[in-house]
Amino acid sequence: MRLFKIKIIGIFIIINLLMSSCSKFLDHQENPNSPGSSKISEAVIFPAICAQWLQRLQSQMGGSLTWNLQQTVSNTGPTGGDLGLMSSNVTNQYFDAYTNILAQAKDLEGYAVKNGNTNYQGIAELLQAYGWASVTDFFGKVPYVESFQFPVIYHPRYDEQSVVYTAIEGLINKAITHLEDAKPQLIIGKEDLIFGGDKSKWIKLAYSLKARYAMRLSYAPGKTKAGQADIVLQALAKGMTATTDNAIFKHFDVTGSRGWAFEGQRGLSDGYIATIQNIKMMTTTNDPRLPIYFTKDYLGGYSGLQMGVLFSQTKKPSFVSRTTFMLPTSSSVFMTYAECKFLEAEAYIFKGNYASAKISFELAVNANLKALAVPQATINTFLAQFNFANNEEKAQEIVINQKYLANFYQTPEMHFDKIRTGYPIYDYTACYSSNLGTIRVPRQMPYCQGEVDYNKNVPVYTGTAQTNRNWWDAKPITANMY
Amino acid sequence: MEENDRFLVIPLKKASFLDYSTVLVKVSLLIVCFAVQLLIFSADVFSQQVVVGGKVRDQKGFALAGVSLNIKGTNISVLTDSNGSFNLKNIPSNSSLVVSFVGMTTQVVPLNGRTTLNVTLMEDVSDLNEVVVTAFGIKREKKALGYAVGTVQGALLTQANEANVINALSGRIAGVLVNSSSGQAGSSSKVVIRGNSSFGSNQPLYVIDGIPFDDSEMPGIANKSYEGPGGSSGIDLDANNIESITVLKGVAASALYGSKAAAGVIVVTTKNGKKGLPRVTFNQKFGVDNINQIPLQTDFAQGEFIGIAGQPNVPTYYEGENLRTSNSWGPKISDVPNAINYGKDRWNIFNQGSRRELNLTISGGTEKSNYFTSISQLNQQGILDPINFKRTNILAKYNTEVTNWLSGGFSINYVRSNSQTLFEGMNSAYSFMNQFLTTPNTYNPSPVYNSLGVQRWYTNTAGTNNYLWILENTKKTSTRDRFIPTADVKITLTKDLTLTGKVGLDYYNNFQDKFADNTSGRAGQTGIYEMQTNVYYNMNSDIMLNYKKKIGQKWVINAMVGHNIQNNKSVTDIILGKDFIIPGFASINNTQVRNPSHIIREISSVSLYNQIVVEYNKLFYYTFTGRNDWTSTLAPENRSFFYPSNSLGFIFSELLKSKAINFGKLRLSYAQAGIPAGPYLTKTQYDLASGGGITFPFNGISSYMLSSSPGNPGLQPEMTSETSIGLDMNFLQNRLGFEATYYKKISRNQLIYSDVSDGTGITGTMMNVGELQNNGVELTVFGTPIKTPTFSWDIRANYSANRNMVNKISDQMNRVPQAWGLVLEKGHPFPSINLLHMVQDNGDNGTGNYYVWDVPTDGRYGYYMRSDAVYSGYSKPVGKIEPDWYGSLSNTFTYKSFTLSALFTMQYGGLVHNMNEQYLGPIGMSVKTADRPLNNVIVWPGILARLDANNKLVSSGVVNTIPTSYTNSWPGNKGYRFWDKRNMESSDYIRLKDLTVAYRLPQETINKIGFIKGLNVSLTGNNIWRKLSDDYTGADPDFNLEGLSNASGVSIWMMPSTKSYTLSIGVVF
Repeated sequence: MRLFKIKIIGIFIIINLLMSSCSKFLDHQENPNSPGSSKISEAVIFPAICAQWLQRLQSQMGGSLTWNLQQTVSNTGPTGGDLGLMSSNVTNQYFDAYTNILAQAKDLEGYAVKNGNTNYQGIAELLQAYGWASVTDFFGKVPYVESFQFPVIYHPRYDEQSVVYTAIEGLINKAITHLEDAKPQLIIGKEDLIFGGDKSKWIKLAYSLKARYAMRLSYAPGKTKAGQADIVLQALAKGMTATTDNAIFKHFDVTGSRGWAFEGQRGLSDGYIATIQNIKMMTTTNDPRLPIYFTKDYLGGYSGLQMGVLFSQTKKPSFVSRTTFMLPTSSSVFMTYAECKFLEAEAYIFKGNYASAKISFELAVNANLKALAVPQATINTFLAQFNFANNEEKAQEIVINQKYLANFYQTPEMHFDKIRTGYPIYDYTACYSSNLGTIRVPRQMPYCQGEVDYNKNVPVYTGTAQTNRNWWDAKPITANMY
Repeated sequence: MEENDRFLVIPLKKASFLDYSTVLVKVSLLIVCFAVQLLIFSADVFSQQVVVGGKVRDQKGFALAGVSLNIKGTNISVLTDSNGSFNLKNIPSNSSLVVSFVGMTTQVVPLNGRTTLNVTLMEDVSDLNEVVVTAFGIKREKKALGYAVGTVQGALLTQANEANVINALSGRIAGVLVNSSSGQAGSSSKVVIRGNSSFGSNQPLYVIDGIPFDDSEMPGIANKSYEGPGGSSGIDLDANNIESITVLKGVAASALYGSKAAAGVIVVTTKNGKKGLPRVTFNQKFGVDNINQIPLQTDFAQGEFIGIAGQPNVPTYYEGENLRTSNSWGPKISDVPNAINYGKDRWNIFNQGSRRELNLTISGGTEKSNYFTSISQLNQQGILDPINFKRTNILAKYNTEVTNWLSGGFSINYVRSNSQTLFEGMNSAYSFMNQFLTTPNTYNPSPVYNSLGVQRWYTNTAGTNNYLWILENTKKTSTRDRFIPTADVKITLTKDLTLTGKVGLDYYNNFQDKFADNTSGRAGQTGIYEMQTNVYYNMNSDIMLNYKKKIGQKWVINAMVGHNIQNNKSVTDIILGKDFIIPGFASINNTQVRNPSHIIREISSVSLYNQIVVEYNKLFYYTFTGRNDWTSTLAPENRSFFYPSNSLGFIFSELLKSKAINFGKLRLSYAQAGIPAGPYLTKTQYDLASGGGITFPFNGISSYMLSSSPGNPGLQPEMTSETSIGLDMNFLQNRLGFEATYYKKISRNQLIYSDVSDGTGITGTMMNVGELQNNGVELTVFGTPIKTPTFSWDIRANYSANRNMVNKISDQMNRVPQAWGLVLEKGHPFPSINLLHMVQDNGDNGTGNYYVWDVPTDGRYGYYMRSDAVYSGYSKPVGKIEPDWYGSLSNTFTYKSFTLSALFTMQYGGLVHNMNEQYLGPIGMSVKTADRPLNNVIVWPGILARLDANNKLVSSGVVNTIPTSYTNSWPGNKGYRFWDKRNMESSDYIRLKDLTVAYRLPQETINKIGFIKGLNVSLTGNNIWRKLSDDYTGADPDFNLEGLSNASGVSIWMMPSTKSYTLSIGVVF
């Protein structure tokens, strides 16, 4: 009987304990390892966004270098075969502007709008413009209208490039308006890894980028060279005025802080091989940058490797010098004052104003060579040889060739200029290997494998990606300009 | 009345219920503490009851549940409970008990005044009657089950000599497919039961003595593919301590475990002490392991085909010092005057591996208590010097009956596992097999350094190292200390009602580090020292109330309700260090750059479950189980899930009364079980920033960035439903029998992380999508062709075939590419191999021809054409990993004291992605390049064709005569971009997994010797013979770079498998 009672009492104790309330055993959905949006502010995410911008630059440079410079092959030399692109060759990094810079910049914009910080709002819009351009310039049609609508839209439709460019113009104009808003608000500080919080430089960058993307459309259907030139000149009036305005990402010689160009080539025994094109372009003009850009070959002179020719250990050509662009501390360059002056020169050419064009051109070259510590006298001698001869095509070639060299290993503009204008002209005739066939620098990338796999709206090519042309890629081209 | 109302409210009202769960933890702990106290201090207080109690066991010491004890000459009878205990009150002390149980010889036991009676029933060999362990360790008669279970006894597990005992399940149970991940000591074992039922994890739940046992993989710091599979923690199991392993294959068998049980449950039961004097057993094993070599070409030298425009290519020798290349396209070694063929002897670098295993157990018991203690040590020296595996297991168990209404026990298991391995997988800088297999035949890797102290190597390619350097300067180590304490208590409340409580903990900390020194003079590498500490904690508590009642002569009802709480927490600390200050000093303190991170994961769940078994006249057995889980990983409104199961066993042989048919049972079942989501997937997070090749903090500034994979608040658990039907029959005095099962499993709501179009603005997210189907048959046939007093021959054959099919992914998606060229695609098995495949028209156009480019326009003419070759990028599934069928055949011959047994395992019809070939082919080291054209010109057989603008194949019908470069047409050329069907090799095999000759000293000899009770000696060969498919050129088709993940069948740069011989000596004192 006693035992029975103990049992009964035991059961009631259990039931009672069950009934009493207690702590939240199942409530731990919050991730203890990372913060949610309630803890986030603009200044906390902005450095990451600067890094994402750097990532975009690298992705674009990756494509440009591989196909345009033809020299990112470690020690086997440039091979034409690598121009034969397929979707499976195109990693998502060329396309993921959506998930990195665009998504991040939109996120920043959201906080900025919520908190009334137009400074950050303007920057967020400007970076979105850059993001859109970086993806449409490589791929042509890209999702715009239906993008950023997950989970409502899994397969965003692809829009014409003209639609995306309209959006880019709009975003830059909005960015300028917001950056120029003088109301008191959150000051941008050291979290700005580009300009260190100098708002005036962001404004100059916004105008300069406006010029860059206006120039991109100089041959686009529905636009005129002169009309675009006007936009370029107007914008540049408020653009960068000195090399101190350059939009750059400064690197440090510490693991995880070094420049991408240095990291990219440090594993190579000799570095990137010079191509015959680059050496030829510089030797014909007696370019003072030749010994700065390239190392001496096995004979003590400068020579590049012809595409398709096998690299020989015993007959080493010149390599891209490991100094100028390749130092651990070499800055990554988004846009420079020199580029602005080249844009200005080209715009004046389109307007038929060759005198002004020459002045802008010389300022541009001067800015570039001076930064490389070339003596002024040498610069002057070098500049003296260029004559625009009041010929638009001739003048454009000179400007773009020099812009190419100024942008060498710095911004992907050399690639987009090549596609837009046809300059510099590459010589494919000596390609000995039949493997090269009719391969050319691709004008467009095939859509990356990720898009092919996940978006049923991805456009199907007829023909090959490298002959597909962007909407803005409409300049009539001759064979040797390809 | 009021009390009743309150009682009823509890389980029904979900929201308020959750609050009680922590209390339940406390209650279960209280019960256990209370019980332990009773066990220790109160043993005498209640021992004066005037009742007859005791236990009934079988001759193996298993408690027998449901044994009938009838007082002779009366109608009074009772049944033993699930612990084999019984309790009879107020009976004459001079009466006799009739103890009977199906399949056992009935005994009549006179009481003679005893109040405690322990009965051992002997098996009635004329009948089939096996007691098996089911969910929650509940022992049931196998014949009463409406579903299939497979059991492997401990003796077979120890005989397999596997460091990872899970490997010993291979071939033993139909429907259970076991893969080891690599030939390195300490590697993982993967078990897939009845096919992949999830796009996520398909690993079964491991339960040891009722406590969930973690089998997660210790992949190390970086990903598995880059560094090779780690060891799974299942390797901590010691075969010496295992009484049996039962695999609950079907969902009906496992449904009582609810979430986590969809992929089946592996129930491990450890040994208990037996009544009697202390029994001391001492087992010692000595083993040797020999490597299975991987075939390579051994005729050609390092070099290149070099030609001048318009001239044929000539193989040119590169000596590897001044002229260096990664390729072995040089001339025949015999044609090069100064070249020496080192490649032929490259395998000499491998040692004979060795194993030594010691096990000492002391066990025993009294009428009321038993104990079992065991200590084991395994020491495995791998086939290369730094590779080894060591494990120490200590187990102590104690069970006792305190009074006739209270019993309980506790156990503690301590394991230390320590492994040292080499990098495997894609990390070319440190992956030993990568560098070893790609080394040209004519290059001598020794000495490692030149006169300037700079590392010598045959290639300039960055991120590569001399494999001898790798041996001496890299290693991965893992050390795990694990504790598994358990305690259980059982209270008999009334004659029919018992309350059981069980609480247990699985706790370990695992320390891993990986080390690769600063390379000596090799470009692009700095040393790494990375360390990771995992602390894992899983607390599990169950309370069960059992009710068993016999109604009339024919009906028996057995009902159980239970409550479970689990709290699982793991904390991981990682420090990634780089750049050693002093080369060779492997310490995190010696690194110049350190990057720490700290990761917490916590999952809790609360469950209510019940089981009702209704038995009618030993003819029908119907079982219903239901379980409701509440899990912390899902949003509150989605976190409650119910999993029911129904099964029916109909023993029709009871009706037949046929002499030829000894036993016949029809099984039917339908059940559901699920897989829960992982933690923290429901909310969007911000991650520590990175990007552009820089890491934060950058110049003193840190940052967070929005995760590109947002959380999904609507996640739900996966749900698998299975219907199965089975037939078990025994004939000819049980000399012949079979068990056959057909099942159909549908798994819905699959939790999958899927990438989506970047255009959506996100990279991907977890979602519930998809429907995966598995249909299969399992057949086990067993027989005893010969049985005489001195000789017997037993045969057992298993056959399993499973057909897996992805019925649906989602309205938005039909395919989700997976790692390693695998794909999840509607209408194909999962995983399928996805290829940018060559156009071969069986499957494409139907004639069996390969097509070859007919127009030399883009540098690819003369190649095997691939369907994607015109930039479409569309790949498609070309084959599946899962074999069409797999099976085993085991034969055991016993002659007097000798036993000879052989287990063959086999599989047929699956593919593996042998990625070694993707790299060995283009450089000319693959054995497939042994027969190469010496001018590098080949005319690929095939029909000329091209793809038109719409990617449609347009064939000219003309046989290809276009010569092309042999070297360039290897898949993998062009920067290793392509995967080719030529690298998809058949995984068919037949192997002699175990061959054992055993001798047991006869009893009369033992009696003469006197001081021992038994002596066994056996010699076992494991994997000593195998026949692989002719087209397989890899390490072992069983291997799996991704360890436990679904990306099985992929292997790259894995340590080869071994064949082993083991001598085992066991003495019982």
